Amino acid sequence: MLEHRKEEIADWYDHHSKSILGFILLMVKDYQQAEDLTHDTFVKAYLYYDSFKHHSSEKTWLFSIAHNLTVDFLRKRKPAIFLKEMFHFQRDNFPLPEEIFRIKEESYELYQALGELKDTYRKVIILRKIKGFSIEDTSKILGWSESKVKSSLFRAIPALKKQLVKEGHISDEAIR
Amino acid sequence: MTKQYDDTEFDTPLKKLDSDFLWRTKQKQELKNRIITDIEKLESKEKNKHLILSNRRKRGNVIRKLTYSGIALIILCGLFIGSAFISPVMAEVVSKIPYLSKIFHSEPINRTILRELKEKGYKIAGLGGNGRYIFISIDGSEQYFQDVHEEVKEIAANLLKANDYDGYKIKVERQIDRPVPATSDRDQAISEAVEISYDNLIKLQFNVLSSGYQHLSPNSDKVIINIDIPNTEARIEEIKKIVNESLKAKNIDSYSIKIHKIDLAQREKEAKWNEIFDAIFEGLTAKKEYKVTGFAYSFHPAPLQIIIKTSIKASDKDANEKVGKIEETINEFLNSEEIQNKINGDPYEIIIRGKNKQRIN
Repeated sequence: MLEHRKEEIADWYDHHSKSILGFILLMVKDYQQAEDLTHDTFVKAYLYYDSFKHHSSEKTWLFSIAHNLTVDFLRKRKPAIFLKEMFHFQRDNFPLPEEIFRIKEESYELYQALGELKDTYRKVIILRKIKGFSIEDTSKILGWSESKVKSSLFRAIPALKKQLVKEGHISDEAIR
Repeated sequence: MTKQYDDTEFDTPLKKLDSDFLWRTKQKQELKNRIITDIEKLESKEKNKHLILSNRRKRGNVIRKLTYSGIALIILCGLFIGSAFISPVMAEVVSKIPYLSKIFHSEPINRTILRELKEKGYKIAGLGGNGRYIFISIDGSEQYFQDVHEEVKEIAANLLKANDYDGYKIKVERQIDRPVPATSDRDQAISEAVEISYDNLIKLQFNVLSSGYQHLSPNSDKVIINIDIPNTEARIEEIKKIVNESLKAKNIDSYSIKIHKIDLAQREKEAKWNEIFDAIFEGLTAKKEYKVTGFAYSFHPAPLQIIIKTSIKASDKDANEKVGKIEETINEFLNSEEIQNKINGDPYEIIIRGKNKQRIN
């Protein structure tokens, strides 16, 4: 029974780890942390395997674990960031070890712009638009109501647009 | 005119962003191995499941906390020492700080040594100690151990010296991993049942602090299920019922359930004393002059007993002087304003035992 559980987790890992890592990375913007949180996601999935009720796909379930872990992590990290900024430590916004994980040139601007959005906007865009989850699944992962998912996305896309304009990647003209 | 918002505007580039992530296969495989290894560890040691998840993150936190408190401390010390140079009054204050208070405010020596060694890149499996020895165990091959054990010992010795500690001997050993015995099916079932009953109890809003089980003796089939609850939780029979059900569901017999009622207020009070005990222990064992070999305490029955074990013989001609010095050192620390604020005047009694284990004060 345990052997079976382990195999299933390994199988899930093969299918979903990259997607989950990408999601966490966009949220925490630090590769090493993203990898650690991905690790924890699958270990948690193993531990709480019995509580997986198959009401949703395993992918949705894994994402909701990843989301919870990430939110916890970000909450804990906040004071540290505050201190760092107070002491004027250099802030490293996209520490991607190139040789391990990288993003193709064309998408890099988008990655950066997303990184500047506030957390709620960022995650709703990632889940709905990048990962292609349905509104229902997104609401399960985030623990939001479906209408909150819709309204947040409704505000998030213009915010992303604004950010891209601000960084000069698209011109104001092009939007109108 | 209001601009119509187009929900699908960035669909294509966003969709593309996902496929534009490139992750090295080797890295993916390595992470997978790490996960599988940890899962296997869990299988063999189901009880420690929370350790694996939290270990790494905690360490990060500690390091971070240490860094920041370190920075703050350096600044504070700078100000403090600076002012001591200028003002004779301040210099007086500095010299009057009780010896143990200084230790109370510094990093435990074990942690300092471990941190220094790790920073220097040595593979340290662990560090422990008692009143006389500091044990450092080194990871890696026999060859590696031969190569580094003297350096490691020297670094640790220098750190002790820097703190004026002369009471510890250092032992450097090689870590030898013993295979963890496989868990039997029955143990597996019991630990699952305990886990399920814990989850159920929490779901039903019982206040459970922790749960676990132990074998009565190494070769006995009989197990004891331990459940810790606050002493304000009165529904003991209900708790037993739920635990019984989940054990029954796994066909487990010959067990008994022990419910421990924990006085949370008392526990909190004891927790406050812990850091104080650490300082007393380190301060007294680190210096030979105190002749202290061990430490113990007991909260029940009240008042708190602080027991100091020493190698002083009652017949020694300076026995009284030594005993007096230990008492004075502890009292001076515990009666300082800072500690009194923490312990709110809790009564305590100091018991000093000599070489023959008899009380000598």
